[in-house]
Amino acid sequence: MYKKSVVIVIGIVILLSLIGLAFRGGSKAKVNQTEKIAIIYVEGVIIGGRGQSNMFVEQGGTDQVIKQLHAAQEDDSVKAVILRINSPGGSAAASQEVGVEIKKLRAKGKVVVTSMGDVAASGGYWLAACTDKIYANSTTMTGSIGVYVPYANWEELYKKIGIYQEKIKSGAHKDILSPERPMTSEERAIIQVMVDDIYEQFVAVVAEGRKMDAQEVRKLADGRIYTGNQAKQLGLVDELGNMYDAIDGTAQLAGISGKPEIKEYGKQSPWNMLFGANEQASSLLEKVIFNQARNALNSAAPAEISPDKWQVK
Amino acid sequence: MGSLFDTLYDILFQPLIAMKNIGEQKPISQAVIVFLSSIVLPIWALYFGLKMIDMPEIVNVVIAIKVVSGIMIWVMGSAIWHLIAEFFGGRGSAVGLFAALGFVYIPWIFIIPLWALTTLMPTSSKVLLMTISVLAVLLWSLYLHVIAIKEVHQLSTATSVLVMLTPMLFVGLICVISFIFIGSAITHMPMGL
Repeated sequence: MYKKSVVIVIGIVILLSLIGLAFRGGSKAKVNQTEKIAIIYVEGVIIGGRGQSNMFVEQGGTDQVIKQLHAAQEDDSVKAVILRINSPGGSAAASQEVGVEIKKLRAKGKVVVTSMGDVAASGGYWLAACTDKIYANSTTMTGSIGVYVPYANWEELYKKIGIYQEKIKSGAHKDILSPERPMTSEERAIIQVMVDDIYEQFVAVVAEGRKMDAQEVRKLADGRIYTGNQAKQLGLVDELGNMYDAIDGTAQLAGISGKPEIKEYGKQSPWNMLFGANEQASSLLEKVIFNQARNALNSAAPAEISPDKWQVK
Repeated sequence: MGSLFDTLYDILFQPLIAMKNIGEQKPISQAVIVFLSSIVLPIWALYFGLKMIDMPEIVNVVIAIKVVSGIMIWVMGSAIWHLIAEFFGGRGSAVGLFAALGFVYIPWIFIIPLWALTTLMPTSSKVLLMTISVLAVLLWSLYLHVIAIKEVHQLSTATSVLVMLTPMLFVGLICVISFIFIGSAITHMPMGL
């Protein structure tokens, strides 16, 4: 009986401790529930799709960024989001897709602030323009508001190495931008209209986001890059400062009192460390060069001229 | 064998007698109940504890490691330690050792009140106190391992410690040998560009 009583008392102490722990942990979680600032990283070339993925993780590509923005939107504990951009730009469609998600996040009443890293140009600036406030370092490379479609004519090279391609086309412009023949003036006009259309969409996004007149944006949007300092003077950036300045500013903007709790999205989990594709292992420069080369090849060389279709004579 | 309460009391306050009785009477069902409680209940404390020190990202990994390693060490450990104990002249049964080793995780339940106490401490000392409590519980649990092997197989304390450490020493030895071979292979690899 004595042994039973002792064990029961110990059991009660353990049970009470368990409940106490649950309350302490729960109350801490509740306090933090409305005080978080999420940080979402946009790094490298902005390109649609899932990026690198394996059995356990998936990273790179705008699908991941969109997922993170969506998660921040759904998470009631996240009051504001900082978009940490370190990107030279990329695909217009991918930038637009992320931009739309940022607008949805803002429509939900959450503050979205941009903190620019080394580079936040072109598509990177497209995203920044969709946010409430932009922070940049004074030496950040930004701007590059404009659109281009790369085209390379490799006709002479193909002749030299004896590659000839025959095409059976369903329409006159099906092989537009093919690298093995010169572009016709009609094709050039078609592409120019497309470029102008995307450019106007870009200008509209910047004008809306920065509350500027479209004509005023067009003057700045000749494709040139600006330093953070220049961009601030031109009204393309709100404040000069690093990520911690952006965190403080975001906390103020979101009305968070005291030190805000930071929730980093896309942070390396133990699974990522063990099995993940490590984005940080390659430098930003390597990624930019690789992806730009890939983009150029994709744009300039449609699928039907892939090497397996070449004829070597 | 007495009730579960008697066994638990004996494990806590007179472990030598308790392990001897368990080894003889092999209460497997009691061992399973105690083992599962000793694994599941502290996981709750672990979950809230790690959240409290702002390490929520490692919660899943730590819990997975704890559950898997707990089950593996209990089942495989019983077989391996039984074999080694027999090599060292032990005379106990494998089932008896299995039952006794089911009870050696009881100290982990005490991590709950210990971590509950640390929540009342200043934030700066929380991590240190939690680490100390984990180490204390770990040492207590290892002590029960030694007692279980000693009483079930009727070995001396020194031999029981040796039986418990042999698998670890063996794994360590394999690691060292592998390291030497791999290191040697790497240093002899042609490194020219």
